[in-house]
Amino acid sequence: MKKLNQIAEKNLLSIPPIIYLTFLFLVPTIIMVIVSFREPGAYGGVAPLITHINNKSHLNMNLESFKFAVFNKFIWELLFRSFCFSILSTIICLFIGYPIAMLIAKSPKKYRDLLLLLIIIPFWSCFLIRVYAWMIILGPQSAISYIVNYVLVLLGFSPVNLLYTSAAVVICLVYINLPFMVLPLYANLEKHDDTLIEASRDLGASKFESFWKITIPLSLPGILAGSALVFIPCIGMFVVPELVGNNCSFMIGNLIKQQFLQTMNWPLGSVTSIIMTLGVLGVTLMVAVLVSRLGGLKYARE
Amino acid sequence: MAILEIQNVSKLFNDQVVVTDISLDIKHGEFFTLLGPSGCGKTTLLRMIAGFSKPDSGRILLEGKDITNLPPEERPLHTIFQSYALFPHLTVAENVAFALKMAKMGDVPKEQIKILVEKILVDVQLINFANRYPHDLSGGQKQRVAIARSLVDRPKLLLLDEPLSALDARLREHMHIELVKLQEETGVTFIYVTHDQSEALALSSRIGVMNKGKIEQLDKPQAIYSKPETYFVADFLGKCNLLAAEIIEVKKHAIKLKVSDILEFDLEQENTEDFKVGDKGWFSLRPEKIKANRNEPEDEELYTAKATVKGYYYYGDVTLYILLLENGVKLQVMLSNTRAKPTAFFDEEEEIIISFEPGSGNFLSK
Repeated sequence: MKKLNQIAEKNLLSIPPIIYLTFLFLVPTIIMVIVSFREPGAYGGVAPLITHINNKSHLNMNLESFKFAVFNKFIWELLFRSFCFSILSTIICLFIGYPIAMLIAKSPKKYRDLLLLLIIIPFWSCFLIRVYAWMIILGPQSAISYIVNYVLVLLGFSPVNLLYTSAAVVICLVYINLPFMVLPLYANLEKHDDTLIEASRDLGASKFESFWKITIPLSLPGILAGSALVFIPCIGMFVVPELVGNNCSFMIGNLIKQQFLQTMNWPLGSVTSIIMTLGVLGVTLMVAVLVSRLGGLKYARE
Repeated sequence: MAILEIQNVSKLFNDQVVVTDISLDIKHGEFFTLLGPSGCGKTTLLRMIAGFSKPDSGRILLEGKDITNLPPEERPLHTIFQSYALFPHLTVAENVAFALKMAKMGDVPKEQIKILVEKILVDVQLINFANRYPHDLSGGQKQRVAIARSLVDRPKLLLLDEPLSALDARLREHMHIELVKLQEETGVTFIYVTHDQSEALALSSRIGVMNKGKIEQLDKPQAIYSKPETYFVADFLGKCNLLAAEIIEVKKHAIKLKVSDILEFDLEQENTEDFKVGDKGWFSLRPEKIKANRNEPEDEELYTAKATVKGYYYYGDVTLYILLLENGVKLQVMLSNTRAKPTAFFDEEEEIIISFEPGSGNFLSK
């Protein structure tokens, strides 16, 4: 009896997250998987599970949606584009975010909280409004547009539209997700011991060599965490391409949204979602394997 | 021959002088210690030698070459940090090989690196730990990796910044022996920074005692301990009775002192030109230089005085007595517990005779 109490005590704290994850993650996922095997309904949604024709019961579950999706070039094209946009955005976020995180981590302690606050401030306004702001910034009447086109014309190129392009989609993806790169990187870099850099310089490494051989490897956990936090939301994004992209910059999220809300083909939407999820899992696993091959994060336990 | 010359080096931090016009020559192959309390500027001086900070004035020369403005990576010397600063993502062997891989003077071939790393790991008895990561090691092992990492490419100079302060007492004593052995074997000049006076006395060939950004006294350990030149040095190193003293007579080879208003004796001096009657200062006398007896000693060379026992601290090997002179001035006397019985020699409130050779003490004018 006493043992039971101990177990209960230990696990008491994990009950809320278990409930949360069960009802808002596990159950919806199971529903999605089930829906993917069902037939689309005549007027949207799903067809009844069992239909009676000529006194014969008929179970409406099959692999038709999967077959359709696997042989549909369009889905794979969108998936490939989503991955390209997301990987590109993640890399750009990393290159912009790393110096920012480094700057905050190296600045005097009393300014760090203020600088972090500046990183978080954009979250105070609605995500949609911030994308609308970019529509103005990149719009044909904007200063940036004028400058870019002025330079292009000077160089002998024809002027371009900045808004409603794939570039605009990537710019907004980077903008929206940048804080998610900066925060974990900062959390990591802030813990770095400056003596290690001194030791490395002392042993003959230049500033750059010290950064490359000491700072970068030690910040690998932060780089991976930040990259995951940017990459995963990027993949499923559908608002950004819809607002600032064009027909050629639609992502897999747009397709899923379309299948659920416009075409009303729920089973196909579910299948597309499953393909996307498996794709993200695949990439994450690949990175994890690659990292452990390269020496891994054995020291990170410390 | 001086391997390192420090010439008139000063350093300010936020307008506060941390190192004041220090000039110092370090000899080839010596074990030199900078000893002083925290905040005396010893670590600042070490960091300027290493190249982590630049002096505001003065020069630092290594083998006659000015290195004052060289970045740390271009100085042929290494530092051992208080926190060891081992690279957590590299194995012991990779940590040790770091300096060789970074070598500025031409590439060291891979096989050569392997041989050198193995050799030094054997020397510090860590060859079986070559593939471990630093977080798997104990404090003493980490310390040995740090030493191996800094000695593997035979630097001209090794700077040690309180390297043993994180270890427990027993391990520290063990490391003392190993450090001296390694220093003798490699012939590398060591500059050692510590606030631990017994460590400094035991390890060094020369000690510079630092206080408030200045070197107060620079000498061999024996001289520093037995002939302190200033109040600070006498007080900082070991236990010391510092009694107010005044010169009442200057002779040719001695000065007559009046100590604590009641003791009067001649103190031999080679040169008495700098002294004059009426000079005030302190008479420093180590507690172990004083003998204590129930009866008057027969030796006439000794100066004697009456004292009362006020209490004692028993340390095992020695006992420290707190005595009062006739006019109430406190005096510490250290007696070795050489007898079979482990009890105190004297009881509290007992009246005894203390005796000492005046020459075992020093007159300090500052």
